[in-house]
Amino acid sequence: MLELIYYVIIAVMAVLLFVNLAKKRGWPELICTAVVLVTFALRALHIK
Amino acid sequence: MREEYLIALVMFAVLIIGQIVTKNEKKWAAVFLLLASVAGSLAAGMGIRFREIVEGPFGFLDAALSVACAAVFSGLLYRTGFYEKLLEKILRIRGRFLKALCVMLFIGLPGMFTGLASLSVLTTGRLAGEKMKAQGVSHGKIAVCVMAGAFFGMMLPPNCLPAIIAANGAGSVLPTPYVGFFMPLLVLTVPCLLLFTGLNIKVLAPEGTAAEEKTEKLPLLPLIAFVLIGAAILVEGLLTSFVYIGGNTLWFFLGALLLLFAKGGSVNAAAESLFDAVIPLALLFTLGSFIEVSSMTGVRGIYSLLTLPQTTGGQTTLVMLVLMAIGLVLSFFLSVPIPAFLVTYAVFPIGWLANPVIVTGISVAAGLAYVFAIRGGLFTETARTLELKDVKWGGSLKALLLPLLLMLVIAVVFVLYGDPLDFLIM
Repeated sequence: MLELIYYVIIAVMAVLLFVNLAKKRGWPELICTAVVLVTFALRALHIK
Repeated sequence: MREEYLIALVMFAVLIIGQIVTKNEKKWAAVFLLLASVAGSLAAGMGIRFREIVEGPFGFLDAALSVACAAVFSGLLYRTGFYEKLLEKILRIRGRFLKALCVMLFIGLPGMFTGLASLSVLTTGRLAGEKMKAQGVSHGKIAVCVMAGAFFGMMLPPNCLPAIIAANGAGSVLPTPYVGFFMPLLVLTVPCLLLFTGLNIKVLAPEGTAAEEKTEKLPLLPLIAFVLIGAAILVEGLLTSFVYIGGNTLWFFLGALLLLFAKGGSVNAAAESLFDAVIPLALLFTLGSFIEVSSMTGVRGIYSLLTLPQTTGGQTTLVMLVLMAIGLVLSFFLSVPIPAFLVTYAVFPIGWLANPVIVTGISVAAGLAYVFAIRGGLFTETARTLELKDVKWGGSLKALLLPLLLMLVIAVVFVLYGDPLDFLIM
């Protein structure tokens, strides 16, 4: 159950970051968004 | 010369050059931290070690999730108009000290939730600044009050980014939970907040300025979310050892979900709110990469060799205090990244033995680094966001000096006497 909640929270945050990626942003902002997104996504893949 | 010194040199050179070229611009700091990690990995002849570079941030992930959820929650409170109405209510308070204190806490609210002073400046700081401008307060004084509110908000619980960074150092090679910091952060920050409020009461609550006109009611759904989440976080923070009701991340997430249904709340607004926190979050994650690469390439090993002979008795404390001092001096010119790195290294020698009181004391160096930075720190951010003219970094710092010195004194006491003060960990 806890893993599921954790997964849902990470997934929702990742979706919100994707929404941001779709908007016009500067290069540093895009890189920062990508860094956060990659970390969230990889962590989500590690959840057993 | 040992190879590890060369690797450290390469990593710091990339970071320092980046900071100088971009004039400590915060949005570039994360990029250069990442580049420095890659450069360190290449200099060690290990190629681009993708695994370590993305594994480092995992140490910060759980705390960062709480920050991300809190950023969405706080951003939606701003975008639904709750903060604006709340400020109107606060300005009607008649008691001057209470009103001044409430204004300071109001500015600090997003900082408390997220641990990010920049979000306070961007939202509540902007609202309070506009009111002060309308009252004819000078731009210099507005800068000081907003900076102070945002800074104290960042240092107050539940989330405090400098403490989150320092806690990572205590975890050695494994992530440490950011737990047990609620009371130490309160004891550290509240006296400084009260002192600042007392010294600046004339600016924060000028005589005869209590708004007389009737204000609109606070929007119901955001009010319910604010009270519920605030109560849950207080209960859990103050009674950590006795009560577990889901954790801050879950509560902020639920609060944000609830606010999606309020007027002004939408997925787009939630995404914008998260975007406001993306740069500090990326900074946190790339700092994790930098630390991980420094461990992987043996830089940390050399550091341990140099410090371990000193880590008996009072020598450990000396190492911590020296690294805090170096971080504070460097912060004047190079802003936050290097002081934040030094803070984690200051905690390393005590590792698992570190208690949150000592870690809280050390974290103050990273917090103050953000205020002390001449460029790319809290001052630059406040002046730019609030469009303040003719404000000077030196003048603002001078006005903040006394409360900040008090905080530094309390921090040193925490570092020196952290063990006997462990009753603060609840």
